[in-house]
Amino acid sequence: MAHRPVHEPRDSNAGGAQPPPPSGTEWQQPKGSPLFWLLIPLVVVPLATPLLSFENPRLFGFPFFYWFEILWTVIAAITLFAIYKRTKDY
Amino acid sequence: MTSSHTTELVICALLFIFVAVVGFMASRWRRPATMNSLDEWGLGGRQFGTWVTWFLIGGDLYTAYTFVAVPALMFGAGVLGFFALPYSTVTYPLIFLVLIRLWSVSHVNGFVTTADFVKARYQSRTLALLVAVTGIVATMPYIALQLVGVQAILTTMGIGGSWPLIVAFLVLALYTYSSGLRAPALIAFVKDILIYLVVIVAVLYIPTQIKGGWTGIFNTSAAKFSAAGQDGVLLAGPQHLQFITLALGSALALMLYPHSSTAILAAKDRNTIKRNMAILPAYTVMLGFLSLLGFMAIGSGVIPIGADKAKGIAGNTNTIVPVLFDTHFNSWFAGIAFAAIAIGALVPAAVMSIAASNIFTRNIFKEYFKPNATQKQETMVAKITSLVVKFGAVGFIVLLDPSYAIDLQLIGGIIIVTTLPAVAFGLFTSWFHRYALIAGWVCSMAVSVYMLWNIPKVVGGKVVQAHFGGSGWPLAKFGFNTTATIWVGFYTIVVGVIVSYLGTLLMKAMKIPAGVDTTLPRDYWVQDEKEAAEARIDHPELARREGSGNKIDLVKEGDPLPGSV
Repeated sequence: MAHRPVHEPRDSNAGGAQPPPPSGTEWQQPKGSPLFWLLIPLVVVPLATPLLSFENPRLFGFPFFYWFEILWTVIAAITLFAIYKRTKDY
Repeated sequence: MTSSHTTELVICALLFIFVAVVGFMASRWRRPATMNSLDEWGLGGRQFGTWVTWFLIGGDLYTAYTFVAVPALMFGAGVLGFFALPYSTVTYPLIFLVLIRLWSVSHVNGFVTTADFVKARYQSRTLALLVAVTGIVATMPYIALQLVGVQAILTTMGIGGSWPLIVAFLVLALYTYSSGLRAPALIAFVKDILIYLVVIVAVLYIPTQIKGGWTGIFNTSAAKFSAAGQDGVLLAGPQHLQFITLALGSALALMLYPHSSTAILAAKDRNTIKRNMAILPAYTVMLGFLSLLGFMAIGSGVIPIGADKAKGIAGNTNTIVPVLFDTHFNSWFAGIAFAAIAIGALVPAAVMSIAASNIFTRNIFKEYFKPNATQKQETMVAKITSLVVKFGAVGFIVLLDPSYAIDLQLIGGIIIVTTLPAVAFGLFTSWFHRYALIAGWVCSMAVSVYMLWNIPKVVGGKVVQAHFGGSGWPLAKFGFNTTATIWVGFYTIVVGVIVSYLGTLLMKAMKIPAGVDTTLPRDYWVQDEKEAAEARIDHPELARREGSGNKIDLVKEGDPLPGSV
């Protein structure tokens, strides 16, 4: 649910009366980056347990489910770092 | 376990004294001109860089209770305890999306708590009060729970009585009082280094002591669970839903807990938080291995203190990790391991009590009792509140059964998600109507409490506790023919979102005025203090409040001042 709003064009003030118009410098909302879509698999994959909860193949004695979940944490960290690097201005 | 634990005790005591000294010294660290401001005491000056933030958030989110209870759950219930890993994996992308906006809008507008934000976003004191009270109520048992972690260590070392707990928390209370958020931020360095050291050694060393290594550990665990007729090391059909909803829901709850936002708001700029989302998963990997200590305990055949297999007494499963360390490590390293867990309780307890104090001061004391309180008075109230909160937690554990703390923590993790629509959705849109959000809060709270009340605790087919016995709501109660359960917080979220959505449509149809949103779209994007200062130019009400000469000129005649309503 939290993904969608990233691509929302603007913060709506539809709910109430508009605040006073900006008197400072002109400001434009940064455009969304397609990289943010990468966040979806980061959240969905580790929770897709029916597809993961298996014993084989084992790695260092760990059942697949365990080593995959741990590995995914590392993948998530690398992905988040890449997104951060590319979207410093967002 | 009859052997004396003198070495462990001495090492624990020395490390504890060292940490106390660090805590008191912290007030001199990056010393501000004055400590008499909530920004300084309660948010460490909003200036923490990448590494301090990393240690602080890591030390804050991964609590002593986690170190003790998650392996205990793996030991007792198998794979279900492993939810902690995907839970903390999923947390960071969510924070990346949501809480960085909270940082930006708070930095521009000077918010200290999420209730501050809600008040400005929806112009609703009631909604802000609900968010504030929910935050405090959810945090209190969490603080008490830290003591359960310390108690497990003390029990393993054979120390009875409540005085060590009282002394430990008294010292903690005193240095938090004088140093504020700087104390846990500095102590977090000690805590985290010790914890990493212990977990790395445990993961590399203990399996070599167990027949078959990791393979043996998993096989023995699987055999144990299947012999007991329980679900084992892999998720069985009906368990998936509970596992998934618990992991995702706990991540959402974590995002909303006051101690998370306090640690996030203390960061100096937006990219500090983003960078941290990439490096914090190091803790998650550590937590993954740590949870497996529960299986190691099975593999190594240790039993918790007070357990008696012949009589079928489970004992205090929270002691399983300390006992495992005690069995496999020599006494001085066991001492370090015990100290790591005990000190691990101090950092979160300090941050949580500071977070609760910030909320009480800003959203209850200042809002309802003394609106024109000075910065100095605010800080004084927060400091005293932090003392009250900690002694409340100690009293709770000492006077009542600690298992109540566990039940209450379970409830806390669920009721905190009643603030999801107002806070998390509110960070993206002000579309929701304040009255609809209030209705959403009331309904989701009612549903959660009703469900939790009706979940009994069942041990071995016998009901041992009629109410508040767990967090899994059986789908069978809705008429489905299954033994599957779903985490109650999931319903909390669904009800809260639906009522808030439908209510907003209704309010709009009835043309009932929404609150005036005093935050501006740009506020949610500022990167650092420089941009925040620029953004503040567009906030006449902030300029007037600060009373800074050049900013007042920007307030045009006839401008509405929504913040004053």
